[in-house]
Formats: sequence, C-alpha cells, structure tokens
Amino acid sequence: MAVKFLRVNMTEKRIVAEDVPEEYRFLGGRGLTSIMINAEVPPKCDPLGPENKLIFAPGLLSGTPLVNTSRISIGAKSPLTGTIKESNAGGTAAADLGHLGITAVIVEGQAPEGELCLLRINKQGEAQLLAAQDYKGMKTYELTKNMRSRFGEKNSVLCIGPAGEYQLRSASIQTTDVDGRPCRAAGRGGLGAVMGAKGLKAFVVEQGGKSADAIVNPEAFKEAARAVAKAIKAHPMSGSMMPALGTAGLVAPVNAMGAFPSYNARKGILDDWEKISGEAMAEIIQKRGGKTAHVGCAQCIIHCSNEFVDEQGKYVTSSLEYETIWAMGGMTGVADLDTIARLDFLCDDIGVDTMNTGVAVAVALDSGYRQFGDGAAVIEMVEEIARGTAFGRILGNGPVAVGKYFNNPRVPVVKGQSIAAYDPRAMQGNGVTYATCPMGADHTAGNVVGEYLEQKLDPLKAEGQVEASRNLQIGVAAVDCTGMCFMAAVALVSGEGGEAFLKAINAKLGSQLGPEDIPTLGIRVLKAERKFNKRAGFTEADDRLPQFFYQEPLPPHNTIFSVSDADIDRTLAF
Amino acid sequence: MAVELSVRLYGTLRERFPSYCHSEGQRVVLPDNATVEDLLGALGIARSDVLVVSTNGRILKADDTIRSGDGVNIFQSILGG
Ligand code: SF4
Repeated sequence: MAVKFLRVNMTEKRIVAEDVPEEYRFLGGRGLTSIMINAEVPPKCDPLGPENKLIFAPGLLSGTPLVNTSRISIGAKSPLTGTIKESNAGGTAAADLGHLGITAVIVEGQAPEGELCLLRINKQGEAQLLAAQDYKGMKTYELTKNMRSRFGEKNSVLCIGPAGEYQLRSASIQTTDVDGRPCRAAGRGGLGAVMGAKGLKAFVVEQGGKSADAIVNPEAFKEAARAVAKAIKAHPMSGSMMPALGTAGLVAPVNAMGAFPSYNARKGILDDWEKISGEAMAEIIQKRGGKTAHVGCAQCIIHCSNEFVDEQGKYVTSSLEYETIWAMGGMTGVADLDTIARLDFLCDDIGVDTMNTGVAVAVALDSGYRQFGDGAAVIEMVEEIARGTAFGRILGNGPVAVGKYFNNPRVPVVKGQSIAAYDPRAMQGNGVTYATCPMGADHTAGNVVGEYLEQKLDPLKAEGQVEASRNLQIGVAAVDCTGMCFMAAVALVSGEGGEAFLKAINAKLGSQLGPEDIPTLGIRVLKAERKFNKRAGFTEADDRLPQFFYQEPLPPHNTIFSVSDADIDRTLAF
Repeated sequence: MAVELSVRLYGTLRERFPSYCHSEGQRVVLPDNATVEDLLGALGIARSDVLVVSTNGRILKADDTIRSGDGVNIFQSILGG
C-alpha cells in the first residue's frame, strides 16, 4: 500500500487521502512539516486564521520496528513567534500513524467559531470528523479518559486543553504516553492555539494498523536495527544516565557550570538546586514507590521517563523533565519538587508549555507581582490560565505578554519564545542557537552543553560557538526527520551506531544515502524554514538576544553574551 | 603537605560508593599538586564514563591541579535533554 497524506478540511468538513507526491517521498517529521509549510502556507497569514495549516507528521522511521522512533512532528506557522514552527513529541501516536502508512495529516481551513470537532482514524485507516461540542472546556486528562472509554484503550490521543481553546500563545498539544496519559507535549510555539483556532479538540488514532509502508530491504533493516539497539544500550548517556535520572540529570552539571538561569535569569546558580536535582528527584520517587526508568514512548529501550508520586504514593505527574524543573523551579526560585511536579501536571492538564509558562511566571515575579520562591502563589497563577481570567490569559500568552503588562524589559525570549535551561551568558553557544534557530529560542535545536561538559569548547568565550551551534543545528534538523528520539540519537551520530542508523534508513527507503547526505538534508530543512521566515518579514535584526543578555553580567562568572552580531549572522547563512 | 578534599558525586556514580553520604561528600586525600587525573585514579573511577570534574563553576581538564579547599564535583556528561 502506498503511503498517503490525509487532508482534513475543517471549513468544509471534508477528508481527502492523497498519494505522497514524489518531492516529499524521502521526507518525514520536521523535514516534511517545514518544507510543506514553506510551500503551502502564505507566510504573512494570520496563524490563527483559516490559511494556516497544522501538520502532523510521524518520522520517516516511525512505525517500523526500529527502537525509539516514536517522535511525531507537528508544524504550522506559530502564533507565538510568527515564524515557521515544528514542535515534536514522543508517546505512541507516531508509531500508530506509521502503522497506517500515513505520512502526514494536514489540517486546513477553520471550523465556524465556537464549533469543536474531533478527528478519529481507525485501524483500517478510515478517518472521520465527529462533533466534539460535549468536550468543550475539558482538560486533557479528563478528555483523554473520555476518548479512551469512547473508542477503546488502544487509541492514541493528541489533544488540546482549555488553553488551546482560548487560543493562548503558550498552548500546547498534549499526546498520550504508553500508559494512555496525556503527559507528552508538543509544547513549543503555541501550536495548541492553532489546533484550537481550527476547531479541533482532539485527534484520536487507533493502534494496531497493518498498512505500514513496506521496508524495501527487510533483512538489512533487521540487522541494522539490532546494531542500532546495541549502540544505544552501550552509550553512557542513553544506556545508563537516562534510565537512572532522566533529563533531570542535567540540573547538577548545569548549576555547577553556573549556567542555570535562575530568578528570571538574574543568577546562574539556584541557591537550593540540590533539592531539585535529578539525584534528589530519583531518591524521592523511589522512596515513595513511584517509578524511575519509566517507559514514556512506543518502542523505547532507554526509559528516560518517570512517574512522580506524592507522599501517599499517588500519581502526580509524568515525566518530570529537566526543562520543566528549570522553568518552574529555577526561574521562579521554587526549589521544591512537589510544587514543581504539581505545576507540571497543571500545565499538561490545561495544555500549556511548561517552559514558556514557567518563564512567563518568572517575568511576573521579577516585576514584583509575587515573591520568588512562593510556590503556592505560582500554583495559583497557573490555575488562573485554566479559569480564563484576564491575568490568566496574559500569563498564558507567554513572557512577552507578561513583560508588556508589567512594563518589564527583562524578558528572556527570542522571537517571542522563551529561552531554555542554559543561560547564554554562561553557555555562549546556546545563545547562538537561541538567536538563530528559525523557531525562536529552543533547547533541542542545537544544544551545545555536551561540548562544554566534554571540554571541547570554553562555554564563556565567543570563539568556536558559531561553528558548534551550526553543526548541531544541522544534525538535529536531519535527525528530526527520522522520528528518532534525541536521547537515542546521541548514540547514533558517529561510529558503529551512526553507520547502523544510516543502514536502517537506507534499508527502509531503498536509498543509497551516505554520511554526507545527512547534513545535506539538515541544511535543506533549515533553508526552507529560513526562507519561510524571510518571506514572513523576519530579518537578521530578529536574530538577536534580548538586550539584558548583552549588558547584565551573570553571576557567578559575571560574563555577558559576547558573540558578535556579524558572527551570529553567518551561523546559518548557507 | 597533602590536599584534602570532599568530593560530591552525581549521576550514577554514587552507586559505586556504598557508604557515600551526599551532605558530607566523599573524602579524598591527595599528594600536593595532584591533578584531576590523580583524583579520578584515587577514587578508582575510569574516565571512559566521560566524567566531568568541576570546581567553582569551572569544568576542569585532566591535567588541571586541584587545590585544598576546592569544592569538587564529579558528574557524567549529558549531551542535552
Ligand atoms: S528516551 Fe524518553 S523521550 Fe526518548 S523515547 Fe524513551 S521515554 Fe520517550
């Protein structure tokens, strides 16, 4: 069976299946969403209007038996940044779409205001738009429960909460993990608002489809897949660190390097960071009978996820991750994992990005709205987003909206999107990535932290940062096409793992790609993204960090961001 | 004169020292002018784990000298999250 696109027109309530055109044949994930958006979406359109398209694309390898290929890319023009956007999430939906031979689901048009629909695809691949008025205002945990009791447990759900319905700029699209909880997020860029504007409350895919695109060379694929799994198990990060601590293992080294933006990026070390470290988290979870080394996504052999429980052993949230611990803990000065876990749950349930929301809260605290470290106040603030109060809507629109409201220029964003858990003054290369990434400030697009920890580069000096950021951005743009999880990809960039990964891709597609074709693909994707942004009106002047990073020294190193504008501008000037 | 250190361990390193207590750290005594390499040797930790040693917010290289009174942390490398 040939692979197909499903075009879902929300204006006309019409679903059309199309064969994948030749030019998209070897694309998946981010490559597909970005190249398609650049080709089909008018760059100056209203991101919340009918001309925007919301594209769901599993990776090229999603749905094959290859381990850790569970990422789904979701793309659109972002209402948060005004740029092109791809946000990817784990869970189970990518594999399900892969099993159905669906390369992309493209949601177009717009339902009449106030009308809500849900899209369901069964395991025969039949798609239907159904009325979803009954689920209006429903939070994601309850909604997911409803979907699974209506359609059966063996369904994956992608959905929005109240924030998406309000079309707030931090709204996420939440998706279900292997336990059926909506705790995996395509958090960044406000794509939940695009889904809300289309009038799509949920997208439900049945598991167990049997019409996957054929693997061209199954024997070679099997062999390569075994070698990929072996490399992932053998790598110290994917093989031992991630199952032990998950991404929260970064709290300690980044604080030790003085690069953990704290108290709205006023300091590079959080006073009580030991209380919210990955080590502390794992200890608490184990003592209370929660789960570490939890499987979050389909076919995962790394198990970076966790289930955080309260003192009674009751489920609070899954999975508590580094970026959330930072945004909700470091930036707000709340060094308490119970509060952070509660906030993580609230964000998933309301359907907002934990990072953009934590930073928005931090800007409010920095403006004197409440005290840094007041966990109860932060919980109240985030709950206001669900209630849709005036302040809740400002907060849910992200750090820029909050900064404007309080007239506070200390807003750590690029192109409207919050930075991540690495201060650009103490990790200059991450600053280069924030400035130049076509998606706005981003933590996955080109994270240089490994270069610093492995002493390949001095994090405080300008030298070498542009090259490091560029190489990583190209590599990640390519990997983001495959559906491979980042935690696994670290074991597959070179050596035997790299070779095996390439073999698996070639065996799947019947292609003859060599190592040099990987950066070529990454550059092709980045070029399309930058082209879209240029046509949307973005210029080099937008590739800058906020002023205070160039002026306010960050303790303990007391450095400022020192990469020159000219150097920034040559980062992605292909 | 010897260099006395209290070393804090992170990642999965603690599992290798059953009596390790994090609030006190692991006590290590090294000869004068000892380097990061010597420290790891004294602890019996192989560098193949991509170990990262830091003090005062700086990442140290294998041949950097360690001074008495330095707060030393040992991590495992993570490439992002
Ligand atoms: S390592 Fe973590 S994010 Fe990656 S597939 Fe496994 S559970 Fe999901």
